[in-house]
Amino acid sequence: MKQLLYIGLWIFFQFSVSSQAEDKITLSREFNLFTSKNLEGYLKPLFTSIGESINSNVFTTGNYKDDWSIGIDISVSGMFIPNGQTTYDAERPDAFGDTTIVKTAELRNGKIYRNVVGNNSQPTIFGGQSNGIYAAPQNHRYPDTSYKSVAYVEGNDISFMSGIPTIQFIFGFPTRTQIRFRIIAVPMGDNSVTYWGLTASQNVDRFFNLFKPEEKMGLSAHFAYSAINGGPSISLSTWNFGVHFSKSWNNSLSLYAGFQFEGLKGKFEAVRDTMNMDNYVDNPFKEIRDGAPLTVNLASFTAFRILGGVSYKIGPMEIHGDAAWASQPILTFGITFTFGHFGRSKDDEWDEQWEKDRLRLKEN
Amino acid sequence: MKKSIIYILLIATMLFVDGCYTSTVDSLSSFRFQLPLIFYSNYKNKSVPDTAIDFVNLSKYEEYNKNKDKIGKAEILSFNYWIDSLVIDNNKPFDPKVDDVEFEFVSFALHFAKLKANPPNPADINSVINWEDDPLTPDYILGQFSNVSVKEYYRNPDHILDVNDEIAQVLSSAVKYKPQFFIKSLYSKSKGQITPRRVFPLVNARFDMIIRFQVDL
Repeated sequence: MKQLLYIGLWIFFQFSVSSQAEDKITLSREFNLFTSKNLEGYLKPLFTSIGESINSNVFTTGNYKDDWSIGIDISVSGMFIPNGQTTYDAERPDAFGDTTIVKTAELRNGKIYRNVVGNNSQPTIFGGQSNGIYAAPQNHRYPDTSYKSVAYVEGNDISFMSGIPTIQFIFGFPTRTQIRFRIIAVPMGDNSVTYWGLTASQNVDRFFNLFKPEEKMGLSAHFAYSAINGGPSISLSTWNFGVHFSKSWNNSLSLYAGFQFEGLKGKFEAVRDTMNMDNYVDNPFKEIRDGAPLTVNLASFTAFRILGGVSYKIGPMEIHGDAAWASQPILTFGITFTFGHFGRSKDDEWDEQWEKDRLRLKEN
Repeated sequence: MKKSIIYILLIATMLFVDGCYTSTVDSLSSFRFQLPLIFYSNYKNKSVPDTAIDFVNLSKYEEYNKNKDKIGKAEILSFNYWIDSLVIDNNKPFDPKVDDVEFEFVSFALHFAKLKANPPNPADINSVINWEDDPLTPDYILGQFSNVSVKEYYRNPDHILDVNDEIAQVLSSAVKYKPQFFIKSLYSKSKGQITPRRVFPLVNARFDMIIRFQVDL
């Protein structure tokens, strides 16, 4: 968990020159690997993975018992990265394309492209090699002379991304409501990153008597909200809501399916050290030249998911796994341990009665 | 029996998941970025044929300095070359619309630098005057531009050479440990040159080089 979060946020902290708990991260003036727009494009697929993994394992079966219960769930997830999320349209310096100021050339797959103004495909964190742009300023005056060659950060050639593992407490209520709660705090440099999440699921089919008890089917609605706070520079929240349905056999094997809308939003803000503006930075990107703050809107490509899964109960343990179609198709696996049920459940009463009736019929 | 199958599936799943996590962490255990190095190769009264020498010190780059202990690889990918300004024989500024000068070739080589036994400027160890050719390493030929018509190379960045893989691989491990090196640009005679030396009062040339760094996290 710590390792994955560290990797996800490493890039933010790696180039900081100072960072205190109460201040935003400060970048050196010479930090020029990213502009705000490029960092946003580079990391969006990673935050999609983070968002998807946080929005996973919020439910399994949709048939919640009407008693008190407490349990713990340990789950993992992994996302397949589609080709479309291995590149992004990177920002070029503003004067690139204006041949009166600067001429440019890019070598891509052995072919040279000159003075391109359109799409600038560069790899995201999951992509491959980047392509630098060679530039020749046409005049000998500032800021035209700043428009020099640029290069971009490369990706890590990742086609399958493991998500953030989840450990969550599960509480059941007699109202056929389930609450899942997760929290973890990770020290990160001078800051501490805190992650918490809450999911509420409510069985709804019983309100409308949609299914007979012996059919062992359940329909529920769910809503989840999670947040990551990493000091004044980074904040992130995710949400999802939807419905899920399940059908069980012998109170052990269940198949379940669900649909949910989901999203992630957040912001990363860092300031560039402008203590000594006399020491100007001769950079082709105006944002870096001006020492402007690095402001990144964190977002996800994923707006919804459709999933199907299977769960198997053995005593107090439930093993579950599902596959979901989302912008990054996702697999999840987990184990739930229910420590105890408290109170009398009508479902159990019905099961016992049904078993008695079945035995009586058999005897007759 | 049924329980055994469940437990076997469970263990298999855990092993699979553990493998996926290990693979992801391995994939994300390094960070690669490219960095353009910009060279201003400016000379007065430059005669051809001749070799121009420029000193490169990666320690001057923040991205290198900040990560130098973690740099796993440094690979020269490509470079380009162009003429920024030129004054020709009769002190006339070169005008690409009417003038032309053509070199048979301009070739580039890299030679690693070695700190002199008695550096003349020990206070600033990264100063060029403290460094000399490392006699234990050869000239690594990076590439050659042929038939260099100044008209075509005049403030024009589109003459780009990929550094061949073999050379790139040799350099990739060496550059990590020897971040100081010389770039030697060898100018041939100009076409039609009949004297042993032809002098240009001013040559401002540029070559940019793109290097890939791999940083181990």
